Amino acid sequence: MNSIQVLNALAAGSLLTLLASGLALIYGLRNVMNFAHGAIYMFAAFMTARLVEHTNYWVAFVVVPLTCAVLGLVLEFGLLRPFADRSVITIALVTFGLALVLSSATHSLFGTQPRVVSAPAPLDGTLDILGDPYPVYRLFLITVGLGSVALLVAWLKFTRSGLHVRAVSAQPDTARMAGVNTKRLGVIIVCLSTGFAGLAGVLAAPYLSIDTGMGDAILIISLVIVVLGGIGSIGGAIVSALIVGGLQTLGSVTAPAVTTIAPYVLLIIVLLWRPQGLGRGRVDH
Amino acid sequence: MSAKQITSGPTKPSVVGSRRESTLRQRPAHVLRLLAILAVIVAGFAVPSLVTNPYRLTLLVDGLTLGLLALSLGFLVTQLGLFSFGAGAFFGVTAYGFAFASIEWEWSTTASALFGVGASLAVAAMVGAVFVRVKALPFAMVTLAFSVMMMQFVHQSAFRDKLGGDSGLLAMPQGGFLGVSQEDLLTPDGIWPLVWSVVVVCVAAMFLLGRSRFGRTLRGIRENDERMRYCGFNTYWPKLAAFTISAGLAAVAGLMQILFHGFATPGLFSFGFTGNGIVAALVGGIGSVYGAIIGGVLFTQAQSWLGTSGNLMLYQGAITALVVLFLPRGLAGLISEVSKKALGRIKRGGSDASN
Amino acid sequence: MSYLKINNLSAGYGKAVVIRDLDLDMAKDEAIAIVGRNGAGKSTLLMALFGKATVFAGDVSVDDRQLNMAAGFDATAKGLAVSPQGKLILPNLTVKENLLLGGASGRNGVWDVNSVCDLFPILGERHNKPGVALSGGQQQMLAIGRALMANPQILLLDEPTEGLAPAVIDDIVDALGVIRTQGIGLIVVEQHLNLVRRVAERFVVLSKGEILHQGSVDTFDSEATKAALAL
Repeated sequence: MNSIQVLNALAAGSLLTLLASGLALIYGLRNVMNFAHGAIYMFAAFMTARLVEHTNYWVAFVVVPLTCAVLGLVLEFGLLRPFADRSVITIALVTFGLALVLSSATHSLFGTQPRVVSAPAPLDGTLDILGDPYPVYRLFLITVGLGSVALLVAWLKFTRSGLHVRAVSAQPDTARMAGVNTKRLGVIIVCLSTGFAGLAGVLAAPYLSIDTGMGDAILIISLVIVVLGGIGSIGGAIVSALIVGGLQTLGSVTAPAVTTIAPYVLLIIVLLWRPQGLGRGRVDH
Repeated sequence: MSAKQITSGPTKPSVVGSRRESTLRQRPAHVLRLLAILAVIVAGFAVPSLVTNPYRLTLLVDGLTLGLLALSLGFLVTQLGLFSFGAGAFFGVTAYGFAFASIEWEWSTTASALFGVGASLAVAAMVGAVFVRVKALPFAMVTLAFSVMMMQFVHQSAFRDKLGGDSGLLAMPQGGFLGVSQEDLLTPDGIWPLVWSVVVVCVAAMFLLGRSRFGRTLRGIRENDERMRYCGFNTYWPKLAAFTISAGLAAVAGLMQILFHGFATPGLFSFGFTGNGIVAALVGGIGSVYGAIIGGVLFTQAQSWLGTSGNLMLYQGAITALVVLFLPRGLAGLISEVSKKALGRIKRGGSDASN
Repeated sequence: MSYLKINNLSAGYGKAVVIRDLDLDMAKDEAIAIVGRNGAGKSTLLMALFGKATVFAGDVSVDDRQLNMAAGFDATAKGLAVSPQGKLILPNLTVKENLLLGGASGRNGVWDVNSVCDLFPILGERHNKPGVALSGGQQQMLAIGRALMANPQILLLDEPTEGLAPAVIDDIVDALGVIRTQGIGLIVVEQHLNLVRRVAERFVVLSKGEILHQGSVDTFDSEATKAALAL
């Protein structure tokens, strides 16, 4: 194993971490298993490709996550709030429907052809890492991806509102009783979650090929990660995302055949051992 | 807590009592209903002589097959409140099992079919032993994960010569099956009587199972697993049995599909495929055994109408979301609602089919 | 002059009505005990104010402002704070974080982490431990401390002595005395009649969701009270 492989693992892991932590947040705060998360990510990547054609990557870097955060507002006020009394599974099925609608909208807005986006100007070169050339863009991806997640963790750990988020995701009723304004916090979290999906999409655009299947594939892995980490545990999701990202990349070098199955086997083994998942999640879901 | 006991205590016996009473009093309505069901069953066998266009009939066969998958999903939801997002896996395992046995071992159609369904049941009992331990939402996720895992498995390059990789397996039946000749299996009007009989048997079996003591035990578990355990019930084995039965239905659906089309592809394990079954079950009506079949048929029809417009996903997604939110009991619920209003005096015991 | 007014409140769980047409008024520095058998609706009354029970009819005002019970967090913002039955300490938060959570409504006043830790020194000593690592009595102190962090005008306690040793109960009663000196009102749901005498001025007997009897604790030994409690 060399440093290049470690960096590749981190690059894959940082996208997964962004997506999985977003999913864990929205589940923890709003009790929603959001099947539209992958579609938002795909939408973001296609939108990035379109914006790059007309303007440049940095415009997309700002505009796309914000657009996705606005999609979060639509989700909150159009679905989650009016139908707050419906069961978790009902809302999950509705988001599954919304995923299809959003995918379809993405295709009619941006077409179905696969796209390739090249890395933006200052980041399009390579850098020597212990003698091996390495694309600068991937270092940028790792920095921004893991940096955002680190900021998220710092927010959760060291601020008042972050404390409230942790409380609500563990015991929503108790947190509300203690005076946490769960409504206001809910809006922030839904927007943050979809915004993170948007950020993952914009970061992925110059790194992966943009195609119509990209959302589904990563959604399922992210869902696996959230369950693996313990539903309702944001920290658990982050750690599992890094484990799975690492497993996949390192495995693809050493044992490619087994790697694609590894996350699922891992999930089944973990659930056999700890039905509540790795992290300290919610007890009453 | 005390409140729950107050409400649930007296209502249950009274429902049972009123049902028994009403069946006695409403005997003519009951007989009429039975006759209507018999008429539908008999009429079903006549469908090929009415729908002569082979493409249309093929769509109907596919619709029934999807309906069986929807029935498998609906059974688990109604009886245990569990959504299996990986029901397609058991459909797929049967298809692959059948294809593998008939290609690799050159087994007869009947032997391959038994192998395919048996393999599916064995796999279901094995993975179910783990899956039924978790709650509803993780259950949905692990079944999904299992399905995707199977897809990755058949994709493996190491098994490409055995399982066909991306392109899957093409298996022509080696001989007839249950009185249907080898040639007839491949034509829609030839296979129709078989598929229709299977559908009738499965629907009837699910209906009876829902009303049996086993069904009541399962619904007790769905309502309150913990309380059932405190009352001294073992809830694990009934749950595992229900999971395996549900997988068995998906396996039968998979068998019909491989007998008719001869294809087993990795796509059967995709979430999209199970998603079709979920949409069919929701549209037809969760909680109704015949609703699942209606849902399956309608879904395949709609797929062919809307598919040409290129916006299939848009409609499928919008319909799913709207049905779940505004028509939670699906078309079957709507039908029973409407018929209840039309025949104001007909009692409710018979209209909600599976409960 | 009543601070908390409960008018015609009916509430319960799901479709079951547990408390019916209940009226209760209370001054801002009063101490009321709610007594009654299991299932009489004592906890349901408290939980209705904090959005955990379903409200079917009636309204509640705090300091002449209408309380939004369904929201759950509104009660705390308006000056009520609860130490719930079973304490409900958050397992993923430390002692200090559990306390800070209590300040979520942002009301200002004398209570902060320091003053709460002065009241219950053990919380200060163990502030970095997970909240659930404390003993039962310490967790009860944490639950009361968390409620105080909201700087409430009225503190609601649901069975604060359940399962605690007599010495710990004495500590908690002493702390409640200190809290009262700040002009804070109390509503205590309590099974131990002995304790009711020590902390409350007025008592209310609930039975089958209705107020059966009420009076000053001085009349606690009267025949009428005994008759009501026997029901």
